[in-house]
Amino acid sequence: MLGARAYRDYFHDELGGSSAFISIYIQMEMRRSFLRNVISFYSTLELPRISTIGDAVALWSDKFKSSESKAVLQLISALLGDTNALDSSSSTDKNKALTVLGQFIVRFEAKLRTTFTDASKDTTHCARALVPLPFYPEQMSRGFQEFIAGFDDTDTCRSKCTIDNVILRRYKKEVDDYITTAKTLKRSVATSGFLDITEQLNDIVKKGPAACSCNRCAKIGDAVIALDAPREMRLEHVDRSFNELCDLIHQPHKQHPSQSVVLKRPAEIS
Amino acid sequence: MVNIKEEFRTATRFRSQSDAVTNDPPQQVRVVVFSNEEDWPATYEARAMKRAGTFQLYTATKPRGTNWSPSHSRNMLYDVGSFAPSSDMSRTTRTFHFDVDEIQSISAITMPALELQGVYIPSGQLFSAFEVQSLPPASISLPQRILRAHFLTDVISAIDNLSKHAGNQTAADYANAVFKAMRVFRDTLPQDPFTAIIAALHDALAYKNQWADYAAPQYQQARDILVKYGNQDLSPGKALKAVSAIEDIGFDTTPFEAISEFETKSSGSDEG
Repeated sequence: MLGARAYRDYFHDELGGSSAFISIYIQMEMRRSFLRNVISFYSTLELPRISTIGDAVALWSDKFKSSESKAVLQLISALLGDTNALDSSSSTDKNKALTVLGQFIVRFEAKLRTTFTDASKDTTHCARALVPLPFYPEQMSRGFQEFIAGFDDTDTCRSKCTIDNVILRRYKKEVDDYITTAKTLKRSVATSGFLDITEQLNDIVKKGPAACSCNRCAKIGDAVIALDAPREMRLEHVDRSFNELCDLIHQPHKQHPSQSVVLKRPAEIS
Repeated sequence: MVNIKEEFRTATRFRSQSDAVTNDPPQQVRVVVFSNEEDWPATYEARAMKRAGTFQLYTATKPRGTNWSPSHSRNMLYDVGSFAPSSDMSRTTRTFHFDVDEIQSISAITMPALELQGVYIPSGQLFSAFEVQSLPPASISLPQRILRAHFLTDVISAIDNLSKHAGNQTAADYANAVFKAMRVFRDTLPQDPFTAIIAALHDALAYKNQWADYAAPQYQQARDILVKYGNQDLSPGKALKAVSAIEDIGFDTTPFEAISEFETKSSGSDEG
């Protein structure tokens, strides 16, 4: 949903007309890593002391260096500048930008919910994934604030979920296998993702349910996705870490090339 | 004593002239009672006058520490109305739903601490001047409806022209007109739920000049969707449904690329 046209076409060709499934946990990951940050940019643009789109972009470029914030800036450039022809130095275009961005947020969220078929499996009972994003056309920021209040209330969300049960009981054997295997691997570009995840899992195993949190869940998300994937389905992924995570538990999977590879070699890939 | 604000709204989806035109299914009248305090009285009730003239009394009780428990007194008929589901009960509002086909008027909202007199609604007219003034922002006003029709006409006209020239270099002239008309709509009516549909189609066409890739039949289908939903009193949910319909006919309303930044932190994506 965030790839270049050629990359989307690649997946369309790869997956064909068959239904693509998604769990609400993966939807939550999309909300956490992307949508939540886009809403933060919306809030930044709303600030009274931010007069223009350029002010908000400058603030983010200067203060925030994460890959997530850079992804938001990439979106902002394409959405507000290239597509809607808004002037980044015009104070009159600030409100137009809020409308455009707000509309994108609710549209993306709705599309995330409706494009894929729900895999109907979420053993984690992730409460964060169920926080609604209300659409109030007359006051979009109100809906975003309601979403933020629920989504960021990680104590409440954690109190409702069963991630500890997933890791420490339901998939205990699989998690133990991950940790045991990790001890035999040397850290390299190929294994670092898997090893980072197993370090977190090992900490949870040692400390128990208290070590589980939404923040921790963000670091072990790939493992949770692999563990909770229906075994009769194939997990489509790009990240290497899924190779170990899936192979060890006999979860069917396929690693796809990254976008940059597809864009570099479109003829060979397609 | 609970201090209930002297304010209540009888709201949304009245069978108005506009609904009659679009043949919308019968809608519900929603009565929202606002409180400026979170401690609600143990009992509150709404009275609805049935068309047949019988008086209906709805009561909800909430003993402290328990959930709201809707109940009906006298000879209640359950098909007339109901209390809102718990999801509609925020800390400062309580909502009653009534089916407009069944009732003639909402006569009163009663609280132990304060009786809020409702508005008598004459037979055949399901809203009063007071209630029209209290319409929530989600239900657009008549001036807004007129503005929507006006600006939507410009958008439709521009899309018709673009459709006729689709696939041809002359389409560029009309694509420009489409974008101008859509941006005027967006900037003039940012609070209209219909703007969600306009913005979605705009972004699908404008991003990287993708207007040049769509064919005439697709433009006609998009036009039909705009006309269909443009004549309705849209709820936000329905507006998003229309956006989904735009997607279904092949328009990518979220075409933007933001993945390259994610790839840089990806836990080892395969570059080989």
